[in-house]
Amino acid sequence: MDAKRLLMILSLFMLILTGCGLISQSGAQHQDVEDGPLPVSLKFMFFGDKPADMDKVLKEFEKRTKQTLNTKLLIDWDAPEEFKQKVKLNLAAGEEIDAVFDASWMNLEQNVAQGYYQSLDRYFNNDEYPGLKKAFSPDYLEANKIDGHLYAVPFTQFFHDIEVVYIRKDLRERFGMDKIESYEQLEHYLQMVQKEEPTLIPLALKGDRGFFRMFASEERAVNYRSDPYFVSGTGIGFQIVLSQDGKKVLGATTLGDPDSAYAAYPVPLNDPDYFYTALDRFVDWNTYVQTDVLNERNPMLLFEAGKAAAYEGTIKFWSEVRQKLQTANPDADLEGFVYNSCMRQMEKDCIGTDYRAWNNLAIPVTSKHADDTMQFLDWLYQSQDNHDLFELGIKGEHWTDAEGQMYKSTAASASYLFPAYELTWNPLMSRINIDTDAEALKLLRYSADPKSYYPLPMSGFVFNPAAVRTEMAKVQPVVSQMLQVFNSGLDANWRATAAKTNEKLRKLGLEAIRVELIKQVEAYLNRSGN
Amino acid sequence: MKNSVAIEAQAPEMRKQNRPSPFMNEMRKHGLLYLLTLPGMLLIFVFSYLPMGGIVIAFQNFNAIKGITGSEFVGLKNFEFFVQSREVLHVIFNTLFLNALFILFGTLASVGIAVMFSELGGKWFKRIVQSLVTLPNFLSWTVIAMFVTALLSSDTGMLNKWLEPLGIGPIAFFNEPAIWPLVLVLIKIWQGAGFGAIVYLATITGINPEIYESASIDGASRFEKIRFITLPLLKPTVILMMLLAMGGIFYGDFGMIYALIGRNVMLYSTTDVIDTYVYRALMDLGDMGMAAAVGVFQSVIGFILVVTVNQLARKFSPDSALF
Repeated sequence: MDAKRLLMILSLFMLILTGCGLISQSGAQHQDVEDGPLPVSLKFMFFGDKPADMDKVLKEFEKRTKQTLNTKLLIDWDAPEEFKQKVKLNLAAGEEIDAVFDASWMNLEQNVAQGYYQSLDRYFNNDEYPGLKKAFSPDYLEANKIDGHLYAVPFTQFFHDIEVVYIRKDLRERFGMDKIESYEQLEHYLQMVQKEEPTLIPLALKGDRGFFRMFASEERAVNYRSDPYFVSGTGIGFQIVLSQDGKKVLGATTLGDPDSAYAAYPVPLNDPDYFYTALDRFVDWNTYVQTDVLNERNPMLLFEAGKAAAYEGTIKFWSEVRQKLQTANPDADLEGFVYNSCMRQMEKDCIGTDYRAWNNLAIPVTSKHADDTMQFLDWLYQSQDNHDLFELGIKGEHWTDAEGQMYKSTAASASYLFPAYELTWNPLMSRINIDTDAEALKLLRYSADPKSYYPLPMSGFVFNPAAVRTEMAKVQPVVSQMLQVFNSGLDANWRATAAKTNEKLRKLGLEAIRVELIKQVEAYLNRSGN
Repeated sequence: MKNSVAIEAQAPEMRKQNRPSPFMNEMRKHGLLYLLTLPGMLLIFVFSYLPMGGIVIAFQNFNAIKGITGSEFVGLKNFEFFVQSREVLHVIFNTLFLNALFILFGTLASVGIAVMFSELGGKWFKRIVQSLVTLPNFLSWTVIAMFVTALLSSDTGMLNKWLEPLGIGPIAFFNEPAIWPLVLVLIKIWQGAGFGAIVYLATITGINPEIYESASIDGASRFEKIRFITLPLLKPTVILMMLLAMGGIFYGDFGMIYALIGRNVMLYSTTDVIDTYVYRALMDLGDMGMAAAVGVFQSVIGFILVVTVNQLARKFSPDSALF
């Protein structure tokens, strides 16, 4: 008897549960008896923290578009480290996701190769989507195609975040030095720090970034791709050198290859040192760098706290760094040394680019609302007001207008910090903060100007690693280990180490990757040559 | 002859039919109790056994859109990168070595803490200390990593600042791989031993106080009571916990090692474990099949280890074996 009663209770419980499900489903179906288009819910997947006032902004969006789009956005915010896997699991489970963030620095190319994303060609340059037509120029779209098709909406504000060494202006003046305009002057400054301020770290670097592009070649790459403009996603950076007419591949070489591998290249590329002189400078300059450089995750903090006299970063953080530095030490002041000379002098045709955005939004093939999603994006880019709503929040509350495509922060700005690179960054529509330092502002304007850039050779080429994924997985850990030591100048005998590692890499499959890379580049050149 | 054998074989079955089977008997007696375990068992089945079907991914060139049923089967190809890399032996050694140290010293510290707590008087004092000791377990490794950097850094670290007046150092901890197994063990004990002591403390609390009383009457000292009563009665629990830990010995503690070591290649020689290595190898590829292959490898070895160690336990201390 007891057992029967228990069973009854259990089954009743189950019934109630399923009943609830049914009720809530039918509830959703009831809503759509109103004017305007049928309501649509779009599910987006982003990574990072949900802005505190996101719901407020979404409510405002729904209010504004009730009669036109009648769309509800359901945004999932995931932790960055879980995001990639979660997207794949959702796709594998056949879940309908209408838009996901992806990027070359995540798995965009691999996911496109696997057929995860819908082609978006038909939505652009289409009069039915005037907002997209206006905000995305044909050249911009062309550069972001993969295998001739656009699989993801590209987002970028500037094609390059200019690198800079931040220094302490107050210290420089105390040392009686002029404004720093060269590596020699920078070195002098660092030496003065060592002498006058021995408790400070002269130059703080980030562990996995090292000296980054300091001392990098400033020559304009016409017929080759090499550091700092390597083709990405090949496991190890290859110098890819093309023939004079740009139609043939002369070779693909990498760190540690024997000198003979460079023989086929024209002068001066036939000397391996042409590509690697920076590594020697890194070793020379290591003496100015913090002892535990490889362990450093955020050199900015050291600088802001007044523990370091200089740090290598990008101009994006200029205002923030100054503010924090002066909070910690009111007497301190900031100055930046843009170490690439033509960027420093803001010359035209200076920065090589493939005009590829570094951030994208893709629509998975499982989505049944591709049109609705693109209509939303079209609405977003149709007017500055719509765009501002998502990028900056509610006007008057989260930000206020300022002249010349700028905005001013308010007290409530911090409650709506939307990761604009996941949805709204655009060279034509994104605004700049008016509180930006004058010097940084000039550089930002320079990096927003298309005339500052020149197109790199093979700019539309994307490497597809599918055929050599085992080799890539074997090679990659060894490569990253070697490069990190080199990039901080910790190995004075880097030539010998590189040669030794290179032999090891060959046993792990380096050659297979090289052959595949050359094959794909040649196929690309043949395709684009017509 | 043939017939007689057949008859003999049939005989036990005949006997069985006359008596209700033990299973049915048990069901009739405790059926309701079993029914109560049903939801739990279902839960374990759904969340622990059904997903095992996903192991197939390790043998596929997995494509999320084509799914498990549609992806191409590639046999052992996904295992190649892991088995063929030479670094792997080294990484496996590190994983085993570090985990063995963690298990050994972690258990020692936990048992020590549990015994000390059981001997403590003063209700409030005991509670406060107990909370303090378990507290670090709830700190995330990222936070702990910040403490560790602030403590050990060469240029700005507190430890080096303290050592300076004594004329020692500075010690470049983050460039000295040999120190790190020790550092990691210390941090692991600080973080987890207090929490791990809870199980042992519960076992000690469960020991019949009469045993202690009679020992006191016989004139046993406090230390003797620990030595001859507490510790021997703790043994089965200790072995059980170690057995459970064995199953995970092939899993490096990614959260801990990645947070503390990050991408500091100088320390890889003693701290790079399977999980951090695989993370580096597959980060750019994002290949689920290859990641699953390593996971399967780790689980299979862990399973074999658990069975072997259990077998040993059964031989030397039958009470403490799991199965």
